[in-house]
Amino acid sequence: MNAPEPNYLNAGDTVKSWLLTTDHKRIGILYLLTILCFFLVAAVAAAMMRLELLTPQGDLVMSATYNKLFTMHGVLMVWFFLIPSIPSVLGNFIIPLMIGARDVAFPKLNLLSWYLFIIGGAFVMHAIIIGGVDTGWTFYTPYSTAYSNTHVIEMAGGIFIAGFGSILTGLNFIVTIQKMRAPGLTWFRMPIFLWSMFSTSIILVLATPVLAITLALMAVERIWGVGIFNPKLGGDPILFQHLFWFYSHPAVYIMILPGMGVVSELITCFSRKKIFGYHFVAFSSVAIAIVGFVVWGHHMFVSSQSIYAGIVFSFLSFLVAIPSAIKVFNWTATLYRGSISLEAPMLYALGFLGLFVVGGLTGLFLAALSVDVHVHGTYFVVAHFHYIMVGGMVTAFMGGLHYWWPKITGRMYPEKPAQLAAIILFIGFNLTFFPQFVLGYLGMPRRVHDYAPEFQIYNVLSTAGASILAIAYLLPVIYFVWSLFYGRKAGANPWRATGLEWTTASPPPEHNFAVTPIVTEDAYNYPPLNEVGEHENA
Amino acid sequence: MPEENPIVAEQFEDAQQQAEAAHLGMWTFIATEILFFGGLFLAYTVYRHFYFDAFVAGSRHTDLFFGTLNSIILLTSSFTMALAVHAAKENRRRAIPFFLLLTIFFGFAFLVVKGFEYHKDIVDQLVPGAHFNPQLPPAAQIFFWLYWTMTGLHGLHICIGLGLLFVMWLRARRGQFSSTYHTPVELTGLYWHFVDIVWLFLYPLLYLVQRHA
Amino acid sequence: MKPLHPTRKLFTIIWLVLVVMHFVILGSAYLNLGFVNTPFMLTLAVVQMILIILIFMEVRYSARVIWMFAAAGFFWLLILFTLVASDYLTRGWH
Repeated sequence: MNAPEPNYLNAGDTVKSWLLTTDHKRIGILYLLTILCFFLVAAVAAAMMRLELLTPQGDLVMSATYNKLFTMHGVLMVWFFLIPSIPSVLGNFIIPLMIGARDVAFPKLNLLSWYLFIIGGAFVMHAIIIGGVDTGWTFYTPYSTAYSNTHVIEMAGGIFIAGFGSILTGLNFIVTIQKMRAPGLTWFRMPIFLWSMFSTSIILVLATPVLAITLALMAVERIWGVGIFNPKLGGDPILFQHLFWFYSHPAVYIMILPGMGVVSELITCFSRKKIFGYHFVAFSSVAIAIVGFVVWGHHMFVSSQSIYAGIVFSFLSFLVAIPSAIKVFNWTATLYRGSISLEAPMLYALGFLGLFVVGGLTGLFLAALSVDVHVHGTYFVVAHFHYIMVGGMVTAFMGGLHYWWPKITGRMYPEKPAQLAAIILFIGFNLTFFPQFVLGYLGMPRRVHDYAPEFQIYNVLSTAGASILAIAYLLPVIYFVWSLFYGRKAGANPWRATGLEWTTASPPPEHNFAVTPIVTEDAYNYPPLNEVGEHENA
Repeated sequence: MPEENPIVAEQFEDAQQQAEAAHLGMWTFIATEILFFGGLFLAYTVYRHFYFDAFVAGSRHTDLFFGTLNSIILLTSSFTMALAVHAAKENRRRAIPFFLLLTIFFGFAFLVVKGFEYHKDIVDQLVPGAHFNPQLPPAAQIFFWLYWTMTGLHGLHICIGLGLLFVMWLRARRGQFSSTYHTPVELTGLYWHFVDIVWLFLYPLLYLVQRHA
Repeated sequence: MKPLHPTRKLFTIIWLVLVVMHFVILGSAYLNLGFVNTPFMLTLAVVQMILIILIFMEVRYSARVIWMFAAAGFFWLLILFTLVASDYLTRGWH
């Protein structure tokens, strides 16, 4: 039996070689392991919330505890799972491979970003363990600065530190993609995943600093009692919301754009067809990043911001839906007359399409000022963003993880259990979150643990769905771990996909490419398909 | 003295790509700093709009002598920083640590002046809170939390800059920089100039709100 | 032909211009120019900033991509200010 080929996994097997690595591939794996831990804690919080909501009375936890649960869920899911998920795991691993480079531009900064991430996470976890925070992940003032008796500053401090980690990641990706593409890999020959990651990085770099200063000011007010956001001291709480949402709205695009990038890779590979309207999809990524910065006021329609500002933000929010819609049309057109196969990554991509459309359309409902007045603060909003974040982003993350698993580990996952998990996810997800649209429309407020009895049936359906969703997330953990030991060994390109990452071994050698590749063709140059979707030269 | 070739990190193809990437990275970082300070400038703008008279009163209590002196010190430090980079590009290798040291001197002088100024501000009861100067309207406390946070954050950046400059000075003394390799000096310069630019806006906004009768 | 980097002479001139501008800003604060005072001072500060960016930070001698990155930060700040202003300036309208 031959000794395994030298690759990044067996190049150094001490703990130190992992904890002090500057190899982007190992850093991607470090991030994967850590975000899974945070996801688990946040999922437990969600489970407790859904259990509480089985009955109309608040009988499982006290309302103060419930407040801490949804705060913990939001903070961990947003900053310690969703934002780092595709960028810091798949982005770190795949970007240098996809551009034909040996590593990112600043490998040491890359390692630093992971340490900032886990140090920030440690502060947040500590704040949770010693009693938690009850302000919601949005930290609205003056409650967070003047009235809450919970560990606001420690949690905000943890987010502040982790935020700098994400800034460094974005900075690294911008310079890497700008400067280190292989010869011949022009901007318009790049796979769409790179366009999405570049656009995401723009947001990471320009929005996160505003979050940082906002959290810092929140801490200043809380510690020194000066009037920044507290009306009693002459401050304006709406200023907090402007500063907070200036970051947090673009943050949702940090969360979805990478998912869209992954979906472009999956749909092209499993339709064996180049993406329809490449330039439109590429420019849409950039457009989402830019226009995403001018819509934040739609979170503040009922905050007492000026109604005229509200009108402007409403109009701009309708506009930002356009590039997303363009992408959906282009993905659909890519599928049309493609040679479609339904491996697990494709099932996840198709699930994404459906769920993202529902999430996106309901976003338009919310962008309409008049509708938002009624459903703001209700489960309609909760359902909307979970359709995008979970139905969209997490589904895309699962799809990408399955797609690139052979590249990362050198092993194939078992296909049938994976397809089953994808289907269970789709069913469980819809059962969990669709009833919440109804709940919100009927008026059930969010962030409350007791509710009017007529809402119970929908809550029971939602909790039932959540238990099915849990199975859909548990199954991959089980078979991915199984595959590390017993999975079929994957070759360099098990999917026969295009893209530079598939031209090197699985798992890749430590420095990715023995010789820097030279690119001479466009992205997704699959052989042409005839009218019945077969390759001409099969 | 022979010119060494710069060490090229393994992820880069050549020294030029490495230098260009480093510059791009630093400018990206500066963009993040613009947004970071920008949040404070936004808060300043909003509260000046609401509390203009209190801002006038507060601004008149800032020390114009210290503020103006510090402005000249900082502008001069940018000048000497630029000269340090220039020396590197012209391969005048002994001039590099000289100008870096001069820049450190001016940066340090800035902090010393600031120290005296802060001391005076505290004595004059310009710290928001229970002991705030009773001769000022209460809303002037908003002006002053902005004053302390903005100058404090700026001062923190000066300290970081001094740390970077010190490391650069040590490396320059060891002859590590030349016309073929001086990227760290350039990047430190970019950071230092940025910190100077922030001050150029702090000065009129904090010291000169309305000085005429 | 544009030199590859600024000369010491240029640096010195710019430094002197910056210092002079500084005293102009200071002096203007003592003149009652009404609502023009603030825009005047800020405009001069912006000019000082541009001089530092172009000459001291050598953006004038740099590739276009550097220009874009330098401008991007300010452009985004403009977005923040403009849209927040759209709230505060119109609150009194009815």
